[in-house]
Amino acid sequence: MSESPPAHPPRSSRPRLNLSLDWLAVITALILVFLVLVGLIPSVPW
Amino acid sequence: MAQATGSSTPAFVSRPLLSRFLELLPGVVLLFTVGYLGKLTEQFLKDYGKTNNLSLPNIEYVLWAILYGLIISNTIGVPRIFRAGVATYEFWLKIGIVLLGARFILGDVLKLGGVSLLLVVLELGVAIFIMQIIGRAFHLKPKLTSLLAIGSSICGVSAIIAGKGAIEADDDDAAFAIAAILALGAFGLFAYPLVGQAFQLSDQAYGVWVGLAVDNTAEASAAGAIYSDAAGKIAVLTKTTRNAMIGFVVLGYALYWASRGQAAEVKHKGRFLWQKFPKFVLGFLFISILATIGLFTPAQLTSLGNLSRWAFLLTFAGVGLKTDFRELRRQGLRPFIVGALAELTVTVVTFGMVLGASSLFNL
Repeated sequence: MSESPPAHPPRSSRPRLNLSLDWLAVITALILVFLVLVGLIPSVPW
Repeated sequence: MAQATGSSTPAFVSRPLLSRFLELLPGVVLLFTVGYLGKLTEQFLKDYGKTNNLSLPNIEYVLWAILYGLIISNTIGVPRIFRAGVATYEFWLKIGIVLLGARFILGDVLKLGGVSLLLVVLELGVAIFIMQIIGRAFHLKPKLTSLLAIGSSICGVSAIIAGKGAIEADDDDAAFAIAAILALGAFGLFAYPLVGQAFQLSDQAYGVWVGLAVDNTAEASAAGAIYSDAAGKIAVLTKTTRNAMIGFVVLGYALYWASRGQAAEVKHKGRFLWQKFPKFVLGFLFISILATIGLFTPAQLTSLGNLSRWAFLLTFAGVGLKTDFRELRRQGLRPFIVGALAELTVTVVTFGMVLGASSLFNL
């Protein structure tokens, strides 16, 4: 009798998205640029 | 290295993300508090001078933020609860650099980047040569010398971490090399602006000089910003050009140690170079292109510039909080002297290079 496959693959074999710190920073910065462009961040004081 | 988990089960995702967020929060709040205290101090001294008709020196918030951070890390130390968040300072640095792209027109990037690239190649050769000679004279362990050469020629901490894996160096050597680079950079933050002012360097010439001479990217940005806002921008651009060379230098050392049978062979050189390439440079160029084609209004450019400044504020606080002079005692004074001698030589040589480039390229 064959074993039924587990409902969820083991945690370690789940697909994982590995983002380096560099890419994470680039994506965060692009999100900030987008928010400024569409006016969701209206003005940033210093 | 940050990781994001891709899964369709919300509960599975949200728990680690939430706990990760809570783990980082205290340190990030500390970064903001220390950085903002620096900003308040600068403002307070300005107002105090004005009110009392005193001509106080204008000391930028950058220096105060780093100073407060140094005092905390070298007296009471940074408590464990804050450490994970404080370590995010490199993340804020990279966001700050990418957003800084909005303040550069692509033509300026290519012109200044071209001059910087020429000087960077010269600086790399000089720094590696000097570190090898001095390391040998002081009988340092060869791999520690390699790490110090990688750190002093390119970009301090990131380069040492990249080099450590590639040449299979000891953790202790890497920790020392990082501590030495940060401590020497912290000293430089006070010394470089004084020299720049004594020689009346222009913002551009000074920015290129610290971008070439200061090893840690955060400290190079800080050393530039202490001088002036314009010098800070140029320092970041020059330092970013230097960072882009990281793959070539680390690959060179990896091949050297592999040829001696003391590190793994590099099979795919192209992939190796891409892996080591600092990807935030691409983000910086992309935003600079968007600014060049006129995508942003002047108000949006101001907002992006200010967002970049806030990101740098967190970075500068982190520089102070992460620099612990006590780390240096672990390996004794000798490697530190080697690092200091090499840094001093690189500083003098790059100063000469910048003076030469100033007259040639009108910096």
